Amino acid sequence: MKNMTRRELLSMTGKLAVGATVAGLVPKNLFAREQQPNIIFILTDDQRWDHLGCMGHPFLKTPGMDRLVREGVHFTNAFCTTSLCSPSRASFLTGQYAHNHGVKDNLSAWDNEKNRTFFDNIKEAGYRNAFIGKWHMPGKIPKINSLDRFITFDASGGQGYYYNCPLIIDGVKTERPGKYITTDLTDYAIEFIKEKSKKPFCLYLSHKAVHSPWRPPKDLDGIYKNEDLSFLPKETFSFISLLSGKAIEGAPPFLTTEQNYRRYCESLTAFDRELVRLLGELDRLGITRNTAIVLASDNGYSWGEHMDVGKRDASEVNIRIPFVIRYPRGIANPGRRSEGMVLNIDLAPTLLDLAGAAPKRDSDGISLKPMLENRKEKVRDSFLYEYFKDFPYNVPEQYGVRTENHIYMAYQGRRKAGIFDVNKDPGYRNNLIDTPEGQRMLPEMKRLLAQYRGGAGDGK
Amino acid sequence: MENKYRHIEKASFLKRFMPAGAALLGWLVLHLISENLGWIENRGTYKLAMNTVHVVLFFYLAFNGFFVYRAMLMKGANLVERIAGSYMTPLAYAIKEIIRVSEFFTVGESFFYCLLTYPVLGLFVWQAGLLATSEMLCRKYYKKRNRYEGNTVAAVPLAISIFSLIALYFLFLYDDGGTAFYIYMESYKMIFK
Repeated sequence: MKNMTRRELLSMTGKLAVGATVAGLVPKNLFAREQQPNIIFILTDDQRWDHLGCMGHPFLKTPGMDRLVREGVHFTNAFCTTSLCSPSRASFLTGQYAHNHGVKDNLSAWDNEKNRTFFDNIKEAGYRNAFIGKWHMPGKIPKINSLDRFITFDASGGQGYYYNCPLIIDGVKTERPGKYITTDLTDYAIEFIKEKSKKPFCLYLSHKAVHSPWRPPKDLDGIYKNEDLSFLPKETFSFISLLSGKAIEGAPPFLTTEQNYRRYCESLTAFDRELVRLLGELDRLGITRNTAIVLASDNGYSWGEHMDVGKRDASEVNIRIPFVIRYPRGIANPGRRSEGMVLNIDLAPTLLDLAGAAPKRDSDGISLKPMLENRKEKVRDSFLYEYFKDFPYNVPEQYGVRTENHIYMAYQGRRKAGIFDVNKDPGYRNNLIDTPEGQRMLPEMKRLLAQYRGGAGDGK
Repeated sequence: MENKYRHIEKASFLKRFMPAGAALLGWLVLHLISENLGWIENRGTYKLAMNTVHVVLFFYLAFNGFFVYRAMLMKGANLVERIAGSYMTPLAYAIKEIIRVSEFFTVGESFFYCLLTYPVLGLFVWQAGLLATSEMLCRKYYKKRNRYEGNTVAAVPLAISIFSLIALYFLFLYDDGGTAFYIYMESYKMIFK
């Protein structure tokens, strides 16, 4: 080998450095592209945070959800920021609080000019996108340009039916005689993930289950009819639907609370069975490891708590939601529970972060990726709860701040504001607002509320 | 309107309306009981008490007009008085509901709330059919005793009964009440949004 001069050596070193940098950069980008995960977001409706078999429910068997928990991170302090279908759904899609995305109740329309969903950024990052299932936001079903597949329904004001629910498949209304909706939507979801493509996919699978009026598939009808329900809250009774204003929640007034609850659990079991099928399909396709799955519900549900069957206030059971993320390639220590507070508005920033897409600048949420990687235990200390008037439901408009240990609630109308210890008093029976402890907390709670609401305070 | 009932002594105004007043009082008592059972510690007893009182309250509200109508007739009340007396309890219930929901809604919305299928509008429609049926049964009873001169089954009460049944079917059973609720909400949006 010929001896190199100093100049030659420097020149070669320089070239090597440039070459290595270029060589290092190009594969790195290519690598990042290859590593983009597939994404599946599964949204249930009105599923309580504690209605998973692995949460110790007395009889509910949910092997699908239990598997996600076993193989992922289970966020046991997950909340919705508005415990109502349409606002919460808009929050998942936009990463924003209801006062920002504008879908404040089940009547205020989705503004397709103003609101941008996370699908836009995901699309730009090279994904093919599908929304399959319940859209249920007021106004006409919009055209979302960043969706490659859009299957939804508008029957019964967007609530759909459990049986024979006509679907709007990419804009074309299609009858679905004899179909059970949870199975039908899962069929379409599986069809989408099986499509051959070089692009990663992002699937938003939004179920009708388990919203009222609960109807399980025929083979699951009655499977829980003999189960003991003595674990339901003390104040539960059979004819809650006969109370003023309760029947309009959607529960058939002709059925007792117990009958409705059994149907709820049976419909949830039907959902879980379809989840098992979907997970099995991912296994068969060999894409489990590179697929991030998020499971959540739009809000919780009261089954007798406060003599209520519904979700329209800031009770713990109404605002807590199930929230599980499974992503074998991107999760440290799978199978763990994470107790940091996470929200529905965190979905969009998290998915964008996982996909390597540009963040959504107008998002109020925070990416949970550091929690998935076990680099952070929590991403926030408090959040805003909002519930806007939703005629004709008998619930006052209300705003609150939930911290790790307390909630401060302010109501429109005659109801007195309150501060409650959510750990010692999850039923919100002992109002601390007039106690020395409550008075100490009040100024900070009010300040936080005003800050979250952009200076609007308690709305009075 | 000609009164075809004969030999029914007309009592004083207060006495004629006594059945309606008693029914109203009964509803108030039941309502107060239903609101104040939280003190019962035993879970089984509480549940039994709540179930019983709410079922009784429901059927009381639904059916008391039938008996009030008949009782007022026996006191000599005319048709308008019988209808007014029979609607007294449902009306009081509607007023209670308007006051209750006015905490959350504007005055206009609170009144519009009463057009909601369940509970107020449904109760009023049901009541109309019930009173028409009660009228026909009263006629039959008194005709047998030669104290009523007209036909037992007449066009107006029969039409009201049939209309009431059809309306109830639409309000509660057709599409599980979903279509009626949809129309109600569309009307709400047109008026208030």
